[in-house]
Amino acid sequence: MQASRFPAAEVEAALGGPVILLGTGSFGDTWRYQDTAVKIICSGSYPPQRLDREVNGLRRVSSPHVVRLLGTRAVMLGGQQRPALVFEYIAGGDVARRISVGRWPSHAEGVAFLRGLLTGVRDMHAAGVVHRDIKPGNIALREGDWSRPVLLDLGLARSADEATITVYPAAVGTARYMAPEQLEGRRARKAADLFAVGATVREVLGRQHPFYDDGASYTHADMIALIAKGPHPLPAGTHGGVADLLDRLTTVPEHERGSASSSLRRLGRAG
Amino acid sequence: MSHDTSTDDETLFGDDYPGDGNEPADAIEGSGQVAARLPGGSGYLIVDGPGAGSVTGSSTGSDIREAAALPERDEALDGTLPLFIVHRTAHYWRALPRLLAQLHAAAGATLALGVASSLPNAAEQSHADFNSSCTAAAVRLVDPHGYLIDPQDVRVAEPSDRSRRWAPYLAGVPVTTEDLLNMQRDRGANLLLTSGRALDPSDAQRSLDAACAEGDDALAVLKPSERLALNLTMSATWLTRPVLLRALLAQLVDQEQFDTWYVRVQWPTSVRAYAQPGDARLLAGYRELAEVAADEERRLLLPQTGLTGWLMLAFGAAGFGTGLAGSQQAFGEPGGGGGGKPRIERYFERQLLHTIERTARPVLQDDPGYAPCPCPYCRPLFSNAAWSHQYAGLHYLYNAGTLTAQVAPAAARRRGTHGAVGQKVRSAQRFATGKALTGSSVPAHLRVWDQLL
Repeated sequence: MQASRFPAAEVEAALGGPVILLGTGSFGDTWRYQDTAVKIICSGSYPPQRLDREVNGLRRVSSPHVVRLLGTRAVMLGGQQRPALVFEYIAGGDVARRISVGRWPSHAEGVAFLRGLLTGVRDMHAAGVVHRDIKPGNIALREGDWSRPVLLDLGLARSADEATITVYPAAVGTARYMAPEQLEGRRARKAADLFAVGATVREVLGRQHPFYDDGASYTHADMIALIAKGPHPLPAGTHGGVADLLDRLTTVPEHERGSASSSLRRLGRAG
Repeated sequence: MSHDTSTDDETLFGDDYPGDGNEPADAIEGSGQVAARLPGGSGYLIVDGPGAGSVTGSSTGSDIREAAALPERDEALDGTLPLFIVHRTAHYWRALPRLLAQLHAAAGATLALGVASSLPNAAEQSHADFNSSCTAAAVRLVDPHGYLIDPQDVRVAEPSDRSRRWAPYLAGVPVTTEDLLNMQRDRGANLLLTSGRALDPSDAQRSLDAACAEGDDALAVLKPSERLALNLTMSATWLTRPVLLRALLAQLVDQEQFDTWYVRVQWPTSVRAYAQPGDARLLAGYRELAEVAADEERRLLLPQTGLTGWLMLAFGAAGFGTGLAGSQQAFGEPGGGGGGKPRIERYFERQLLHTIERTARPVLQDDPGYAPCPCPYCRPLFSNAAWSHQYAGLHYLYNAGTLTAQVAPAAARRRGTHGAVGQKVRSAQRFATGKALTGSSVPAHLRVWDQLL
């Protein structure tokens, strides 16, 4: 993990008690403080609209699989008032950290993980919010339980009906889990979230990224070509219905991914 | 010109129209009465026998048999019953309430019925009268036909002055989304539609976004218990060009707030009047649209598609529309009229799933497997020397409706709608084999349909 932008002691003084660094991002750091996770925006270049968007998006969603926003506050750090979002603290850590130390799920846990993610995405989409940056680092596991994933960090989330502040073409999200239409700089819609869910779950089931080799570097055009070529096969023994669903979720045509609701129905039929 | 796109049904029925459809019911029916309970239990609709199509009091009486209760709008749209939509003709529409009642008598609880009228084709009171008279129709649509002002995207005739008066938005008078919904409410619609402006294939995404934005505006002003369908009109290229079809489907799947899609596709000029399109790409596009709708549990309604719409029930369409006139059985391009030639006498042969020329009937009747049609309209049709286009049209509608009921999930049972449609198509192919049919009487679509299934 990268070093925090401000020393823990200064953050403790600002928040009023002991803190533990949970993670660092492009624009700020997230600290555990009591039973909350406080995301402090440290970069002055963080667009205020983006912060508003995250707050508005989170307020619209009610789901056990989407992190709960408890409130907002200002924190004095480095001589400046900095905006902060206060979330529920989810014990168990994120998926990126877990797989980086080789703690992979069993097949049954992977399927339960898929079900939880699709439920979170369904609830988010029903509230008119598109996440646009689902990836292992943005998914926590409640109590470390693969069946209880929680989507974090809606900083790139967009209301499905709001006028966008992104000027297209522009790639928005984390490239490794981006849908081909995002890599092309086109608008990321609900189907992009489903692609990211499919890519993430394929990765934890197959223990390798479904499209890209670790350590290799790719242009967006390379990545689009690899996605079009198709994902690495899933491990032998993957349930047929689950494999079919994951194939649909990681396909190029957006409509073939279906909606989160229809994906959950397919998963239900897969047993 | 290949389609009859007339909106004036005086030309459809010609001089031989025998009345306004209100002649005594027992002229074409038996003496027993059958009645169906109205939604809400407030009375009965006579669905067969004398007075079919009319509403009676709170009791059917001991000498009247009771038919299945009429479904309500939301039952008709919940995906369990296929929805058979009859498009209103500009004239002679008074025959339709009785036809709908008779279809309910024949189909019972396997079929939901609807009616669709063109808002620009009649005055407000006429629409209201028609809709209130169609008691058997669970779904009533008054379509704004907004595409009439998009001649660059679909080929349409210039709206008449009368249409512009009845639908001022066609004359450039600005109307809000709420105004458009109010026009439909005032005319008796119970499934409201967006304007149905045509999609522009040269700017697909912008055009789809605009259609959905209009839909969002409409949803925002819907009253409690009202329902809305997203009304889309497009040229056939939207279903035949993969890039356009993908854009369309991606948008429809993404926009989950729209649970009902009302999709009108203009067929190419190569499709002859009263025939079905044989373009495999167009049919595959329809099939994918229907399959996506079924997967996503949305209702796909296909107005002006005739038996092609019926075929799409096999793939997941929830309903389709057809009518007495050729222009209601297909959304074709406008033509120049018949040029003064006498109208061709046509007859729908249910065993062929095709409308043939009357002169070709003996070719079929000589077959020992030919079964005369038992519908209420064939007896008067064939008892007069002069051909009645009206009765021939009502015979077609009655049979299209009963064909729909026969492939409904409740009737198809384990075979399912796909299996039941497939069986009908294969049976029609077998019946057509070896018959010396020529010209427009050849059911050329059956082979393509069989391949599609």
